Amino acid sequence: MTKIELACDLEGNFIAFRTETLANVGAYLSNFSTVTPTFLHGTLMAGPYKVPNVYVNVKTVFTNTAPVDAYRGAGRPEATYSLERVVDKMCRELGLDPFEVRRKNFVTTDMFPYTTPVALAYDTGDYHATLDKVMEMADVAGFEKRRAASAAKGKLRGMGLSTWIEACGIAPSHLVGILGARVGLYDAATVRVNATGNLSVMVGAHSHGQGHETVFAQIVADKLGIPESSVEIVHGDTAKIPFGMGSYGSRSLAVCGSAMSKAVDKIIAKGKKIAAHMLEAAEGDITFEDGKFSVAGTDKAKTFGEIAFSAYVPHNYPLETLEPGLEETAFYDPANFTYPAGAYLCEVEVDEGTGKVDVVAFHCADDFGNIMNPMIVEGQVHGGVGQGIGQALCEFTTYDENGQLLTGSYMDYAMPRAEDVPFYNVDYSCQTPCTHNPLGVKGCGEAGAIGSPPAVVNAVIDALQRGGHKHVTHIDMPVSPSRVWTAMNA
Amino acid sequence: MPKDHGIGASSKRREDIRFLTGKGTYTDDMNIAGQAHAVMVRSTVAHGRIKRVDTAAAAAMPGVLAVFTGEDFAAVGGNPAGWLINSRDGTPMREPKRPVLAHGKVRHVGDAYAAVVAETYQQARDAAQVIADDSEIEELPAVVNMAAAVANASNRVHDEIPDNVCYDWGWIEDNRAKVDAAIKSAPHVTTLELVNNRLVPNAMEPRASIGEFFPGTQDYKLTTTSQNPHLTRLLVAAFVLGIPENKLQVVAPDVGGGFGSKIYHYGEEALARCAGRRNAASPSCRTRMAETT
Repeated sequence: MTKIELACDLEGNFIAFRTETLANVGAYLSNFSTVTPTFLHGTLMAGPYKVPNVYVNVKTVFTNTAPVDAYRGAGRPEATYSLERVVDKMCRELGLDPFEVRRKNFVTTDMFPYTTPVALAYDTGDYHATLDKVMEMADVAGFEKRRAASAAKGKLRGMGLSTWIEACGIAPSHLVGILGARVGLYDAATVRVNATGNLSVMVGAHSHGQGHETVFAQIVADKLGIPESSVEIVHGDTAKIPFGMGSYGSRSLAVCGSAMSKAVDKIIAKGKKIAAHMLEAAEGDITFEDGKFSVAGTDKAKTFGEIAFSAYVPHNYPLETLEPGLEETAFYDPANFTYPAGAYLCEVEVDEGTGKVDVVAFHCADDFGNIMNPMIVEGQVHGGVGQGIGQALCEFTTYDENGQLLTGSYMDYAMPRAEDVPFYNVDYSCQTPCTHNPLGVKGCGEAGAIGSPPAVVNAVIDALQRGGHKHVTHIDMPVSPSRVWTAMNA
Repeated sequence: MPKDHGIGASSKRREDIRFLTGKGTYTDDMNIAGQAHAVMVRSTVAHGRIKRVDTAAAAAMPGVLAVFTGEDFAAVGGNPAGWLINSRDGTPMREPKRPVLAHGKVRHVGDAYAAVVAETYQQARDAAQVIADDSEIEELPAVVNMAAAVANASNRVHDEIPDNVCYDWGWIEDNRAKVDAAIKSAPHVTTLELVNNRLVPNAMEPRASIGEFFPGTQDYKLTTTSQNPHLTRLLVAAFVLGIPENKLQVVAPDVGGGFGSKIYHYGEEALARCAGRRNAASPSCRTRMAETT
């Protein structure tokens, strides 16, 4: 339960945000349950905006319900939802354009690195670019025509915007330590080049559907100029992998991928020493490109495979100064969080007779920094937005006054189904690479779940307002048919 | 021209070959020789005082290898919160111990207060039902509504926490006066009260764990549905059960989605490890019903 206040001038320039929240933690403290409503939430309460004053108060309360903990996005969806809903409400109260209000309040590209009043330091971003992009994708200018078409079918049509930011790639150990974390949040990777030139890469991140085995292999193969099929990614076994902190908070690529990238750099550096010996050249004259170690300015070269073989059969090898073998480990502790951001635009149709909401269009313009595998990024956004639409329209865990769970099966707990979600329109061409990790990546796993719920709810309120239901300024999620109908007919 | 390999290419997901052809290896698919099965006895009331848990009849039932109650874990460490939050006044959060199995009180519907390990899943279920029948839990008024939880000091989830508040956090406390003044003097203030709906993570694969013990080396192995096997090892070994990390191997094989729910360590994992010690590997593959409680 959150009460949020947005103070502004009459042109919509933000002056302050203040929130008071009661957070239900359930009966016990699960491992991350204390940080989710606090540091993963309050630190994001400035959003992508240059608001000078922000204060967040959270009281976390024990109840006789199941313990709760982080779920895709964890604290950041709640921050985004509060902010983007109240901004929308303010625009309506003052008769201002929601696109223009966001535009005039965004942190601008010349302000980075930008420190917010809630203590995060955004390294880079371009919030105007993603907003422009989503408006182009969604054909905002053509909305009236689409609304008229919906009206001809007897449906109310609305459009909702959400401009979101998250802090992920969790995170610098020294910082989280100051803030109360009882663990470090680095990650680790070991790159083992086998004698025949293929690789086993042991990573601390865990893949439970994300596709690390594919993407991590792409990165290693690209850096070493070898086929992806020569690289095997090993994860999920403490007896095999270096001590890593696992996968959550959109951290696998930004943190563990960075460790892996650094370990590959060590492999290349050692390879150069071996090549220098074999090619009878100075180490400084060796270059590495497209899988070949070459003496600069000559045609003398050794392939990556030849260097690997030499490391394990070290007959012609500088054993006095260099250990045999070709295996390197790197731990990586990031200097900062990463800050993916984006603009989401949702269009809904509402059936006035039943209150049923159909999401008819969903456009996402995201800035994830550099992209390693576009197909997987799109899949992550689709999944995240699907979960966000589930939160906005369907899902709700509820207890009766005796603490009995009323939504204990799929007959009572409504999961979104294929018919509840539209075909998504996803773009990630606005890229401001992360400035402090070697791959320039920001993370994309939680974005969809963070950015989408307010876009859906804003669109529903917009549809009702345009349809003449001026008294409806908010409906709590899930925006179910009964809630929408009740609000319209109140 | 899009790249066809390396960074920036839409390389096809190599893991999908096994996932889409039913050849993945998930915890519940595994069958270890001599594997036993654990079933939890769960509270049917939201709040209650445990007066009696009689396991004698259940222990004598066919196939039953071991029974556990909260008392068995009273001496080991609790499952800790990973982050210490201080309240606005500087005091540390109230952090009640989260036991492997509840003792003294049950605090939510589904709170496990006993467990049975048996040769088959059906035998374990039958015996768990007998323990439930042989137990007496005095139902207490439930604390459900948050406003009431804070207001009603007499009704406590944890006896030692008078107002049911874990912490009262301000961010950033030094901003508070300035923000209050800015809002007071602002030309316009928009106020919105909202509820963030409580969600249940619904990964395709529910949680499951198998605990094994190897008497020859005194090593343990926990196969579990985790997003972070080293973190789970740290929690189980160092915090909850007090065994050396080097004697515990944690394996998270193919895991069918997590969405956060498989970050955390659950009491069932510690129990699987203990059951393994009694020569009974115990997958506690929980049903979807249990997942939502």
